[in-house]
Amino acid sequence: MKKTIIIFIILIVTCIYYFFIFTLFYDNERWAREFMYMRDMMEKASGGIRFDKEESIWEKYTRELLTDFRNKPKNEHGQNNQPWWKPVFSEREKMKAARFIDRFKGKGLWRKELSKQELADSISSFFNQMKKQEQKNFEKWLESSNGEGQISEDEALFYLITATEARRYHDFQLARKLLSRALEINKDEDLKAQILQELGYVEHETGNWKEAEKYFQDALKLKPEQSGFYVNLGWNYFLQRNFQESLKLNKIALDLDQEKWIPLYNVAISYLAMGEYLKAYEYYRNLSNMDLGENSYYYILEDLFILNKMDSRNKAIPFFIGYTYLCKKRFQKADEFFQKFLENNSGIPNKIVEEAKRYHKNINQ
Amino acid sequence: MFDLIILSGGPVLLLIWYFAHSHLYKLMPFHKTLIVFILALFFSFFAIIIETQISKYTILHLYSDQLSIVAGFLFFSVSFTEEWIKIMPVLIGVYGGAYFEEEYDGIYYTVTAALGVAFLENLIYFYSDGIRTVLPRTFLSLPTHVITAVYSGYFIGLAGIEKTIFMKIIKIFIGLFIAMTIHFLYNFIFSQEILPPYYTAIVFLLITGVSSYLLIKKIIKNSPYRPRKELL
Repeated sequence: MKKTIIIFIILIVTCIYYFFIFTLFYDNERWAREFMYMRDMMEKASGGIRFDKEESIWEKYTRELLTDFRNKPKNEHGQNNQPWWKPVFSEREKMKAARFIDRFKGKGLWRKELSKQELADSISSFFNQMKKQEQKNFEKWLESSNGEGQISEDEALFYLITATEARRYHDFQLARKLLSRALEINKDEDLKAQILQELGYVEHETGNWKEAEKYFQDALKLKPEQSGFYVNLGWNYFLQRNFQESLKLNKIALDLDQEKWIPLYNVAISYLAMGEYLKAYEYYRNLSNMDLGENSYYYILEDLFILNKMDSRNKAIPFFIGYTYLCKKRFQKADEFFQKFLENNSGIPNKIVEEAKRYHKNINQ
Repeated sequence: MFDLIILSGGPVLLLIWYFAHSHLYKLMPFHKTLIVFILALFFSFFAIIIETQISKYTILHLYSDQLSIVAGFLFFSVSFTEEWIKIMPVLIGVYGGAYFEEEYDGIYYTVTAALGVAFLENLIYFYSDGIRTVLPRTFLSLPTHVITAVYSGYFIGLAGIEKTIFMKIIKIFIGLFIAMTIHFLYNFIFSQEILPPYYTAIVFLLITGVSSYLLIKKIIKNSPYRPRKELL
């Protein structure tokens, strides 16, 4: 009897102890941090392959915003208004990322040739599992913040950045909700343009191209000097098979910013889609002279494959795929596509056919 | 697999054997040892869950830049949970029964539980981090678990002698607190950057190890099973 009472009392004390530990030290900001480190994990786990085609543009904005945000002066209590930003890049997050990658290794998912889709699916499913638990807390937090405190640009920015993360993890519903809230409270024009852009992304990625077009256009009206906005709208038109408009917008973007490779590349692929192969080749060659970075070729390949699906009758596409592999120095793959092109190239300008033959010959030598 | 058994199970079995035979005047029952060991394995899973959840849902975690957060995690989460799971198998499995008669019984069964915990911990580390982590753990963490168990076990033994429930519980918690403190100090050695961790840990283990050895010697000397001179 005494033994039972002792065990019972110890169990009660232990329960009270853990209750206090969880209550006193509960991490309210965890949800936001999880988003941030998951994004880093995705990039790390993919070996640097990025998941958004437009990331080079969008990421820049986000990072700029984030830097501004982090450098903001502290409030009267000497604290940063949103302290959760700071630990985002802390050692802990790196460690967590490393542990996450280990999980991938353990599951046998860690392969060099792991496709983007496979990886995205795996991470997405893991993320969803994790997020379900935290979603409720976030909802609570969202509700509690309604109409309370000072509505500020910072808050809109927070919604925008969190929505970006939500979109990256395919939680479009949440992203829409956050962005609507951001639009409601925001008073800054520049930020509004970015929120509209993000809404455009959400609609774009869910296949609502008309909706996305509307948002992209609205954003462009607010910031017509922003080359990236033209690129996004252009790509939206491209996927709607409006290649002329895509070409036009990307050329404007190119005029605004000569150093960016994406508008140049989009001009090339628009020409290719329109059947103007020589012009497309000319732009592709210009592209290969630029320093694109390690991963850009993956975007290019991805888009070429998308175009191939959109228009399987375009016989020049294998040549351009082969050319991209050649630039990436993957000779065997390049030759495979050059051969495919050489087998069926009726109606393609002679210059391109000759180039394909030359590349094929050089590779086999 | 063979390496794994040798590395994780070998030292554990050796230490159980040593503690079972340290008491020169009494045989330790095998079936109770086994029960406590299995219960310890079971409670270890609880420790894994609770420590993971604390790390996940609270601001306390091991990878912080702030030493206070690390220290908080080590004391409130790691030390408490790991010491708690060592005393629970003893309380459930043997405490208050026919085989629980003196202070040394408390020490022996708590050490057995500690070795069960350490065994499972080593297995997990072997699978997650490989042999490089298990090897130093065998020589440093395993003795730490045993040393802390000696102190908490001693107080469980004292609680067995106490008459009132209140005093029994007080004794158990005193033991738990002392064990927690030792466990925390050992873990903290590896988180601080002022002293060289391995040398400091060895010195710390030597001091606590010798004192717990002396404590055991004293308890065995005063054991009711020891033949008294006047009886000879």
